[in-house]
Amino acid sequence: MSGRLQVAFADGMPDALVEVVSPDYETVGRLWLGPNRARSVDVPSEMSFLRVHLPDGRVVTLRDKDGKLKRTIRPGDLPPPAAASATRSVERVGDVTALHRDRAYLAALEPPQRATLGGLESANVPQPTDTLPDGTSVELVAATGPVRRVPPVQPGEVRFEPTDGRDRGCELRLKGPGGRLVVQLPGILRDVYARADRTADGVWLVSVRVATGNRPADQLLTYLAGGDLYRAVGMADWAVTAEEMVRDKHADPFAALVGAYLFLRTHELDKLGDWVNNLAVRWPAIPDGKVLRAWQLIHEGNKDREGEIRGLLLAAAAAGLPIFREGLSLLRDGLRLLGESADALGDRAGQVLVDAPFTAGVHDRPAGATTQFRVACIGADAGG
Amino acid sequence: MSLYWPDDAAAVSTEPRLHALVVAVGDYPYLSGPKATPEGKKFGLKPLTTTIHTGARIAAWLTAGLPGFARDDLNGYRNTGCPLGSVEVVYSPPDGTSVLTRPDGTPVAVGPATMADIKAAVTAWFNRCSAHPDNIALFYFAGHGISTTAQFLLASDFYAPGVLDPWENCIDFTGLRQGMRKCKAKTQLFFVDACRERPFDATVQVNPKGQSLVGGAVWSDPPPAATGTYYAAAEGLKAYGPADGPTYFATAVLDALEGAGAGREKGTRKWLVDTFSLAGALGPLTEYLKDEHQLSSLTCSPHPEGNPAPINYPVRGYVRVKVGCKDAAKNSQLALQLTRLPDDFTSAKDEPRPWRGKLAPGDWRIQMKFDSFDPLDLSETLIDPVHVVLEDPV
Repeated sequence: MSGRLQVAFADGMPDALVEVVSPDYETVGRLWLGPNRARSVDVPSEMSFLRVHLPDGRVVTLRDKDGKLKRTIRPGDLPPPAAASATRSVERVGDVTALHRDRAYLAALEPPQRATLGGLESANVPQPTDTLPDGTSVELVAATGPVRRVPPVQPGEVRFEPTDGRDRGCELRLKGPGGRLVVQLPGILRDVYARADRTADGVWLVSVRVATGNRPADQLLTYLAGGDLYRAVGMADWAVTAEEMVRDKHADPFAALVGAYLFLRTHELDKLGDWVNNLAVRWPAIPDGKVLRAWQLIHEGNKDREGEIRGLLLAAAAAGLPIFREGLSLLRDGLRLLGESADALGDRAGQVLVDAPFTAGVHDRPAGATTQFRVACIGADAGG
Repeated sequence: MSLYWPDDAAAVSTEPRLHALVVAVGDYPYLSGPKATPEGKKFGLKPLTTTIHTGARIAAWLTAGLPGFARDDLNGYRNTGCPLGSVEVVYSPPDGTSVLTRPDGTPVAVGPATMADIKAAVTAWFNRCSAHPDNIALFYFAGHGISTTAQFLLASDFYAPGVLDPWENCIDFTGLRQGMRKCKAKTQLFFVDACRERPFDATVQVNPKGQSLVGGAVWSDPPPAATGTYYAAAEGLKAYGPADGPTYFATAVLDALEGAGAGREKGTRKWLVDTFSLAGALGPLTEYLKDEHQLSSLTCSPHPEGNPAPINYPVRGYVRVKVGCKDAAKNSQLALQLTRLPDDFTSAKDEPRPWRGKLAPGDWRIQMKFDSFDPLDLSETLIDPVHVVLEDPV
């Protein structure tokens, strides 16, 4: 029997995407829920069941044998991490141990607090090495200067303390046998580290893993970067909230940018509204805001605004590289659509890692180098 | 002439149809071999065979749903709202032949994947696609590529001697995609299956450029309602594809289209692969192949945009499944039974582990039995394109 199913998260539940699935396996709704929040969706049968995408990467299937149309999920309904009945995320196929461990570790990390950053007591403590096992050196530079390194969770990692810069991004710089990798990152970071692993065929795989200050933004960014737009659209409500938060003086502009990229990707211009302009104006050192505003105007197609669009794109290019890879592609496409050269942008970006969520480019690659680079956002479930 | 199907260009329908252009480049005579130019050799790029298998396979899949074209291994393209309209193929295998055998057994001569033939094929394809807004435009390139902030795809005669601008025979894919804003087809699909054999090589750190082939789009042209751009990102020949078969990316794309990327269509309950679900499936399916073939550098980058738009209605949806133990010694004892009535599979303990196969979406009982450990009895709900069960008995 069809009806309207209400799904609620009790206190203590994490933020998570919930898929509502009919008995014949049609996904009838995707809901972004957090503690003490509820949402409803029309279902074709009361026997519809739920799949909860947890921050640690697990997907847990929950059924109600009585077919109730009001369901409240409590932390006790979720199996402990090692339980056999949890559905395994495909992300655990490759690089199983490391990714799973990272997610479990990150799930326990809180967003950075100003008071905990760069404390005086840590200033005189010798920093761990800045060099990975393959000889690659790693440096994270924030607006205020180089970020201190912290002890690795696993041997061989170079890890940095959290950052809390809201006016501009950070830059992660790696230099080693594979060339120079430069990664643009948000200014608010919960965790960022690099590691080097030798693969079975003897090639060094240098991985950068990032958790920004906002878990839902990490989740959405991972969905967007992986092309999983159905699940990304399931977070549209969160994205609207992130946009509204831009009005707050302690706003996280990076999370709002991720929300804006979703609506631009799905051509939902009405949801972009004026706040994209606010992003462009209020955070001039973050090029992504200008890129998004320019593309909002491009999609609106008002020919009278060509000068404004051109100005935004050129100003974005002058401000530096966009933080998010999607922004780099949009900036390049926008410049070319308006007949401007994107060559300088290309020179600055280097050889772009097309599967990275952030703008990441390799420079000065030595001939014959075999090192591979990966950049991933792992602050939330990558989906499966 | 590069028309793979139908036989006669005059027979191409102007009603809503899918029009495909497949570019498969294996032969790069000016980059390696006796005809190679000194400048071309610096790229260090080798001829490819996997791309040729890919071109043939994609063309075969597109047509396998046509009457008389049925194949045992492919169900093919099926979309009654937008049936197959035409398939244009340019094809340059290392042995120089440009004859393909269609699923109905008939040979068809197609043009080589030189820039001149690619241009002609793009023109024919663009005009067909633009004939109706409800058309689906599908572009598939398999060959060498160079990726900077933009994507460049190399034609077979890249760096040919006597061409004043050596980049003349290179496709500016980013420009092509932008130029397609001029095309009326509301659904546009682009597959960039480009090998980066020597990624980021110092010898190509000059600014690449190329021809967009479709120009004249202006910024105020409205974007297509639905686009999907799906990039392979394999580094190195080994990760790109086997010499005697299609690329891993093509394998993942066809696996998704044949059913692993399908969900139930709202209202009709039919299995449907659309622009979003295809993108969502490619990552997991690539991970599955990466794991199966132990390829560390195989990745992909799907980029759907706009609204979800139907692509293919496969005969049925399915899930790629891997079942086994983490511990190799326990794997060697593992006997499996997978049940979802009326389906019931068994796999004896001497068969390869982990077990890999395709299963129907749904609730499965997975029974794992061992010689010297307690059995495991699991219930698993299979919905996503890939499902992995790795459990060790105590």
